[in-house]
Amino acid sequence: MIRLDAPRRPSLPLRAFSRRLAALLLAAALLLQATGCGFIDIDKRFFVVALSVDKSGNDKKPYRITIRLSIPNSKTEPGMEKSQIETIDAKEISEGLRILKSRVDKEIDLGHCKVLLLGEQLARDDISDAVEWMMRRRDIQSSAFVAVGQPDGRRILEQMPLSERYSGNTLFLTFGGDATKSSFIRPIKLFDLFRRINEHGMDPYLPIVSLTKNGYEVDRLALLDKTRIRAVLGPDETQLFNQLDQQYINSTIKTSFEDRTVMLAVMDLTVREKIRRAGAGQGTLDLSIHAGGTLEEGPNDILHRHAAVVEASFERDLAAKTEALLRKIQRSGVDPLQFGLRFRATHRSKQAFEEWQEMYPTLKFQVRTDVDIQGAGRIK
Amino acid sequence: MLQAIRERFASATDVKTHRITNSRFIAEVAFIATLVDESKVSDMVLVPFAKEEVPFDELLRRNPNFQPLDDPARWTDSLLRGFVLVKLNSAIYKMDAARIIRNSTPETTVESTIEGPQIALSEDLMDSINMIRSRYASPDLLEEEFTVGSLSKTRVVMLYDQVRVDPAVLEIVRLKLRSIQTDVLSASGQLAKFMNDNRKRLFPVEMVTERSDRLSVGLSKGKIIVMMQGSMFALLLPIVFTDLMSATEDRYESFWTSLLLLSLRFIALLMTTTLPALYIAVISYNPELFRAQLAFSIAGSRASVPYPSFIEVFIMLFMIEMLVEASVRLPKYIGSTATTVGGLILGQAAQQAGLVSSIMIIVTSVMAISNFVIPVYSLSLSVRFIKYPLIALAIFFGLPGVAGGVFAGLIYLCSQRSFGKPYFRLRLPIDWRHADIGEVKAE
Repeated sequence: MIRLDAPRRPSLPLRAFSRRLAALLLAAALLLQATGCGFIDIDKRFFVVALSVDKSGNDKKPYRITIRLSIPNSKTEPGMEKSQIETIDAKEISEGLRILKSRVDKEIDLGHCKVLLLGEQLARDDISDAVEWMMRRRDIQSSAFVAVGQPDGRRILEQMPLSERYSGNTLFLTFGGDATKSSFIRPIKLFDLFRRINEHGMDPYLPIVSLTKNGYEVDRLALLDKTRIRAVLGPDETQLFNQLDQQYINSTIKTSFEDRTVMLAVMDLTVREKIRRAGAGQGTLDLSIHAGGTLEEGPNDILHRHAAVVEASFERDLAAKTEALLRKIQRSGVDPLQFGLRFRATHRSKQAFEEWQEMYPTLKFQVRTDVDIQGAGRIK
Repeated sequence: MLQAIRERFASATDVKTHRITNSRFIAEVAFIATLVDESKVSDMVLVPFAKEEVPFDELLRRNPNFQPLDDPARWTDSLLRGFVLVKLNSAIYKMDAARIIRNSTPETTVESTIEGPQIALSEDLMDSINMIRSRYASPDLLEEEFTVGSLSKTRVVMLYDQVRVDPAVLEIVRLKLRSIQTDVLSASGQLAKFMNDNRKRLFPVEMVTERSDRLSVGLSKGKIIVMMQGSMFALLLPIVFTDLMSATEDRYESFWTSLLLLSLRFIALLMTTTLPALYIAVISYNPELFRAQLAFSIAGSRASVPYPSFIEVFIMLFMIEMLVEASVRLPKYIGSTATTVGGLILGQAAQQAGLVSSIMIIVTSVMAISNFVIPVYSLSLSVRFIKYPLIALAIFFGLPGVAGGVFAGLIYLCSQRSFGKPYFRLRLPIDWRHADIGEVKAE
């Protein structure tokens, strides 16, 4: 016996058919309602490429929101980009953005807003409201970069770098790591910032963007506690920070030898840390750094005559600088290198974080360094 | 006999009835002049009858070309099939003298390969069976004949390897072939349609092919071939979806080459179904999916387009579908002109007139080209249709709509059965000895 597919259904009587048609129309009517405000073509959208939140100085409308809108152009050439800057002072950030919508002819879309700037004044005061808003706003992607604008965010946005192919591209490229890879730049993304604000044992940092004649300069790092700037690292410190935290190779370390500067291009970097708790409020952080690389600058005969001496000198200087940086961070009462999180992860105790907080202000640092000059950096 | 035949074919002028005599016999001969090869009639019947080298009654009895036909009810039938009826001494014999007009040793045109066999099936059933038998020289190859079409009386032949075939499937196919009710059967595609329970099926569940190598491989895998007189395309069944995505060349080339080609085809399949829908969804709902640079340049190129994205898509799809359809239907000489003119319009003018954006042109042409990558024509037709529901979903629901639509399509494919066999099984081989989930088996 063979079972075939179901026999064909007899044709529907007219009444059932009209009922079915009515159901279909009803469904269509409901579906058409559901389109809502979603359907807006790409050319009817105004893309915000960067947004900044500053303090206005006015107590009634404390926030100054500036957006940089990209004017689409089908041809992209360097320097041909056009942008529109809109600024508004408002009581709340979201309210300000809604008022801004009424000033432009298209729907403002934050989907491509990849750089969020916080004015320096705001960052020195309190960033939590602004970050909260950015995180909640659904069309801002969590992978957007956040930075501090110096002197304020608005002026950063108003700067139009010469080489820019399309609006906002210079900032995207600076932070994105697709084009420029600099050991002085330390980007942070929104989700990471938010995590660092909310997690015990780690503190946020923000790169500082300042103006130059043709573009931007991003080589300093602001260290924040959960809400505001506590310390600012200079360029060298920022690089060292990158080296310690991310083991950033293609960076340099510096020492001097017979009154001449010697630079080592680091090709190989390992940083190990270990936190030991000696008792209530006492502890030591062991940090061992191994750096290897080739010489970039230095006297001619340095390698075969004085290699061991120079290596020792590198080791001494690196240890001193590292300890100085760690002390500076410690004095500011922040923990951007996530030692606290590490302590919590490696110490089994319900009060691990409290123990850490008690211990951190007096934590001792023991930095061991090992520098290996692997070559002269040139072909013999 | 002649009287009876003349009565049945009263108004047919091409029915020839002769009464011939020689020194010993009086014979009656009847045939339809337009259906038979008259030289055959004269060589086999008239000349031997006149020459009397052997007695004609003995010739009729000994020559295997002549077969006795006793039932008067089958006279008409035999005449219409191109037989000659000979009556001698009240015994009636029939002889096949049919003259069939067909394409001579045709080359593969629909499924062409570079290095595979170049000869396609013939429109004559006997030639086609010859080709298959010569490729599949096995005594297990069986042949069953059916007649379909109350007026056309088309001969339909089913071929299978009796050892390897799945008896359940065989029974289904037999039942289907017997139950077809139609006046005229003219093409294999029509036969395929009649064999489907569900006339509204979206994807083909049998392969229409002209390649004898594909058919003989199919036989060795236990598949059934259904062929009909007058069509150079055979049906191969049951199949799985991936059969429709494979070209015969996959079997002939090296592993990595065919892997590359196969994956290329699946990517093309995905692109041709989803690209227009994705265009709408991304342009109108989720422009943040693009890189910023691309988004801005699309926004710039779309700035001159007055209509929303889906109207733009419909304009372009309408044009490209017309172009494809026109180039299939037109004679070859005009066809190339049509495509050139159409290509110019699509490529340049439409964009310069600001009717569509330049990205849309790329989307359309990629979609069309990927559609041509699909090796089996009936599948590529289904795929041409399937993108429209996806477009509708994209208009109303954006990206989630497209994703949901693709998912629904996959579920639909999984629910299909090809003559009782799972249709969308991608990995496992089909082994009829072990019927498994969702299969129909003989009880």
